Amino acid sequence: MPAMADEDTYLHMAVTPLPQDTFFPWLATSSGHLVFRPMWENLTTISPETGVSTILPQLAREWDVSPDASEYTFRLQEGVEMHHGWGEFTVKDVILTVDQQMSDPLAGCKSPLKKFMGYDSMTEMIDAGKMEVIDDYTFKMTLAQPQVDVADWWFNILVIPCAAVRSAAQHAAEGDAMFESGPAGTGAYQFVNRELKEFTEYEAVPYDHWRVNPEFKRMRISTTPEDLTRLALLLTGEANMVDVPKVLHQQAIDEGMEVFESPLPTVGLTIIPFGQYYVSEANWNPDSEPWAAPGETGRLVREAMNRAINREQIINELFKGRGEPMYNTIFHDTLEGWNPRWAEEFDEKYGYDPERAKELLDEAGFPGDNGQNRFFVEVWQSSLPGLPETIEVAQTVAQSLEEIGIDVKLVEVEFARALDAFRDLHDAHFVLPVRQTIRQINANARIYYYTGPTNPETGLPNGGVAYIEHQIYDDNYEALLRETDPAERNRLAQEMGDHIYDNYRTIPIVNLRSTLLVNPEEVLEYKFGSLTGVFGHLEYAKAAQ
Amino acid sequence: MAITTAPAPASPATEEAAARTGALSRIRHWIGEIRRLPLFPVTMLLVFLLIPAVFAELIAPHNPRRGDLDDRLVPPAWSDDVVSVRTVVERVNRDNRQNEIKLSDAERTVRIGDATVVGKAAGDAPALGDQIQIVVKPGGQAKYLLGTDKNGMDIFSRIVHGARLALVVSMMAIFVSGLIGTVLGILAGYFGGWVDTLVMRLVDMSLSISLILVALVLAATLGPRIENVLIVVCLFLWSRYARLIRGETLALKTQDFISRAKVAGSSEIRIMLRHIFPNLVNTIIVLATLQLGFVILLEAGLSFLGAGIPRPNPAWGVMVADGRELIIDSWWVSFFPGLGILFTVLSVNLLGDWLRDRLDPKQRNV
Amino acid sequence: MQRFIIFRVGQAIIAVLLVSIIVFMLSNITGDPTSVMLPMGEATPEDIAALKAKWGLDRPLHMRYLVFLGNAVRGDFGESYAFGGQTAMGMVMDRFPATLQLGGLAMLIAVVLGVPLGVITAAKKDGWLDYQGKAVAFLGQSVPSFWLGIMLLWLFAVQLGWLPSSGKGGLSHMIMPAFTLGFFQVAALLRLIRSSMLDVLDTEFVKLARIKGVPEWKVVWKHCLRNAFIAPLTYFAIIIGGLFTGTVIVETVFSWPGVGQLAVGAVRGRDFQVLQAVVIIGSSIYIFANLIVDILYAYLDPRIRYT
Repeated sequence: MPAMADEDTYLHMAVTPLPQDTFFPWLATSSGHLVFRPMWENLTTISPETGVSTILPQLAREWDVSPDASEYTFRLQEGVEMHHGWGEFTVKDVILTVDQQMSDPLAGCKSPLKKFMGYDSMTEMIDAGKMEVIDDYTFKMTLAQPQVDVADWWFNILVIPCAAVRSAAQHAAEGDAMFESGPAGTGAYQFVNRELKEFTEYEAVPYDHWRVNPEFKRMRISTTPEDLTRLALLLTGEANMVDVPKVLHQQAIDEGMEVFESPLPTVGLTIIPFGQYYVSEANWNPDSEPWAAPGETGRLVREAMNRAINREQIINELFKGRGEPMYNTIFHDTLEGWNPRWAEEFDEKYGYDPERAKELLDEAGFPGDNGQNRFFVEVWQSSLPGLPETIEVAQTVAQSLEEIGIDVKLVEVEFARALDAFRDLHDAHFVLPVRQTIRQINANARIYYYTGPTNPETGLPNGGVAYIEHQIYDDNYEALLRETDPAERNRLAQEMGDHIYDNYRTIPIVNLRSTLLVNPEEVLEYKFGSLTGVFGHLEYAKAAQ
Repeated sequence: MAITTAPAPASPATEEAAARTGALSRIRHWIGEIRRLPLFPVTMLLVFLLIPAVFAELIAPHNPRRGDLDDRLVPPAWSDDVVSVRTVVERVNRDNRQNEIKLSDAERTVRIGDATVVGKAAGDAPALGDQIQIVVKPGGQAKYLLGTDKNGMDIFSRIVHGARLALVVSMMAIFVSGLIGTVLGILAGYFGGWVDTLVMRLVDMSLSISLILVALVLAATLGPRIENVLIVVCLFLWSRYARLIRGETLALKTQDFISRAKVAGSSEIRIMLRHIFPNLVNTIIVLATLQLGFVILLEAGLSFLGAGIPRPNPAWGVMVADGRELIIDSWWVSFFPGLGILFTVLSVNLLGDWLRDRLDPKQRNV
Repeated sequence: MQRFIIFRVGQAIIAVLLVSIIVFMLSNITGDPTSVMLPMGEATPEDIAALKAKWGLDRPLHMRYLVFLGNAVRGDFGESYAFGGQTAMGMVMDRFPATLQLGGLAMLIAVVLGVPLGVITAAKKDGWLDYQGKAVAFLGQSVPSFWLGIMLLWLFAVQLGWLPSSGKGGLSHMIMPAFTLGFFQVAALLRLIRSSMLDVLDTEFVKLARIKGVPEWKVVWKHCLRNAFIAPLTYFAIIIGGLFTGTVIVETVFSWPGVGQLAVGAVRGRDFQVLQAVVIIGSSIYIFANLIVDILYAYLDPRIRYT
């Protein structure tokens, strides 16, 4: 432990280790880049209170989009300082950042950015005359294909840090070594020290930051694998803010700690009955799984599975009430395409009713032997980062399905193994709880429902992961990428949502607010949430004294 | 040499009869041994391992793979409720926080049913200044003797069924490795030459592999499975049998009754089966008993690391692992399954020690 | 003697090769790491193909093994899948000192407690102390170390608050994990020393020393102990094996940032590069430790060389 600096306010956060950890941001996938958050800024941003529905300017002061979504002009903030004396932020830094993200075949942003940029880097775009640097603070891009979500997704707070801006000047001087020695960004905190898999240390910038001067002058984010250890760090005063599973909260509350909760739900838990491959039928036998059977049979079975589950009990007991029912997978009332009918009709259509569930299974043609052994299903369970309760949810779901006469085998797997089954092979014959980050409809639709054109050699879709397939989802997703009219976008998204909801394509469970346990004697207030998880907006945390 | 070595028959002609009386006297001897069994470890073994394993369905009051979410983390039956009364405030005052509760938390606990507002109808929303009665730690329930885990599964039932799992898995592992090791050991000792060299080199290899690392590789590639535990234990254990049995066979080979059997024209297989093997039974039994405790511990350790028996099977190691994070408030989740392992292994080890002293004192160092 | 050493070294090398083949094959036939490495929903089949080419996953298995072996001999186990830009070897080496510290302290505890207890219980055979010693030995071999660790944690960190619960820090962080790890070894050492002391105490030369009037303490602690040390050497393999297994478990229980914790993390994240490095380096150490003991033993007791 570093000595707590005398009267300096010190924020020590202990969090679950990230699934991946690297010094090099372009290699950081999914949540791997999150500990970079305090030191970097993006062109645009979001706030914990409004979430992804409202896009706010950050390093981009303002931007214009042509009506066909193919021309973007960004005007950048002026007078923003780079850390460690690396000069003023300009368009050069944006170019370096994007080019670096696209430099490695492993980089997560490479292929989607290339798709709409049409080139392998911004530099190539400039050479080809498709991007124009008007002055140090203004640039204009002409995209190869229309893309509505450049500002609100790709240059925003992302799954992958495509545009978390770092210093071009530093890179020119130090090369990639800068990431180990101390990369410069523009955030309110600057890099001090980092030990992979252990901790990262930051300090408030020594000058007036253009947005906010943090109350906590020093900060340390430790990654600690065991839940109990993190809790103990908080209780012994070694850390003042930790994330632990909700089942452990009471232990800390009894000791006088407080629970901080994100204003909006940040993550959802939904259950996918896999194998509904109606577009690419590779490895799919329509008779093999009752829940994936085409037409009415599959629909009835899936309704029965939905009705077997007591969501209220799951939310109250497993999540201690810190969640709200999810009405439709990937949709939320703060997002495009929301249909209020889904919530209103939910009790009637999805409500807990094991008796009705049994009738539905009889009706679907699975009476079993006196209502037992109707059919067999494998429920896979894997511990998902940031959502440790998934294991218990899977066990509860397995029990609920057994109660309506379905034979269940619970299989404990690594999530990556399940990913193999449906991504590479399209050969998933199981039911699996998955984590769902609440983000823009485009982004989630691509991951969950978009199949894309089918590869003629393998018969497998090109689009990447598809959880549930249907031609409507493919068509509407592609239309959404081009459509800029809000009303039409809403209609496209809602049509997709209605189809998923009315056909019981998924088993939505719960949307959860993120929580942190905090020592109230040291931390007064911290608002977090949405895509940035518990790492966003740390510069706004308020100290208790 | 083992205490019960068969007496050398007087002549090749009476060999058959002598073997039979040898068998009879051994049975008689065994009955005597059982009467002399040490009371304490045997009782413990019966209570903690054998009786639960055999009669699990009769003893366990609940299904070990099924829980009730409404009864999560219920403490052992003898614990009392801990109730506290707190005042609802806007923001918890740090100096007096034990007596105060934040409005949002108060609303949530009332909604979930963990609390009632004093002086209001049940379920009514709390307001600032209300007194609220919270069951901070609900007490035990008679139907859950040792409490429940975070899935609301009965710990007592899981321990009882876990005994069966532990016994079956370790017995299978010991049987398979014992069989392989004994066969190879006898072959190596009896034939010598290249057979011996080959077997002994394999033994050296097996002894030089770290089993925990193999187990981790298997877990990473194949996922946690019962088969992995069997593979790892067999890879590791067979060589111990082979080495010991080979040595005993070498010693037996030079005995007169073996050479006499050879002269009488007994086949090699017959000699190994009828003359050598019976003289090794004590050694094998002692070693198997001594290893049983070790194997149970190993299986539990692997399951604890997530490299052994997968959830939701009631494996003791998994149960201890599940309770680790809950240790501050719910000590019983880890405590009782671990205690089960301790008692079982202790009794097996005591029994093994006693057997060894009686049957095969040579193995004292093993 | 020379022939014996050459023979045993050759055997050890074959064992290491065997381990490397098993680990490599197992890690490579059960699916490839691309799904762990590529982000959900962002990767196209072209990305996956590019990734496979980069890691050489598109070549036949035996070719990949030869390349892997060639690199491994030079200490290069490739880059970690999960921790971009980190070499697997570097990650193992970073963690190694922590494991060594923990193992060293555990061994120290084992020797400081186990050896004297073994000697005393043998010298006072069937006395009160002998029974106490036996109880310690039985408990040590019967208590699951992961459970003991958790119970210590509950008592000393949660209830009493005397010791930090986990993580790496000063000596206070090491007490509980080292004791948990060492307890099994205390029991093992106690039993070994005791039984071999009993053998030595029974020999002619001890009787002779007693007749000569050498004081009893000197007989026990000087003449006997030296000779009694040879037998436990043979069981060094068991002790090292226990230490290996124990380290992995104890590091997990106490979040000790050592090689064991790295290995368990690599299993969970299917980080095969790191797992291969840990297993091959770990097995090599284990195999060569055994080799040295064998040679040492052959040197001390020439009879075993030719059996």
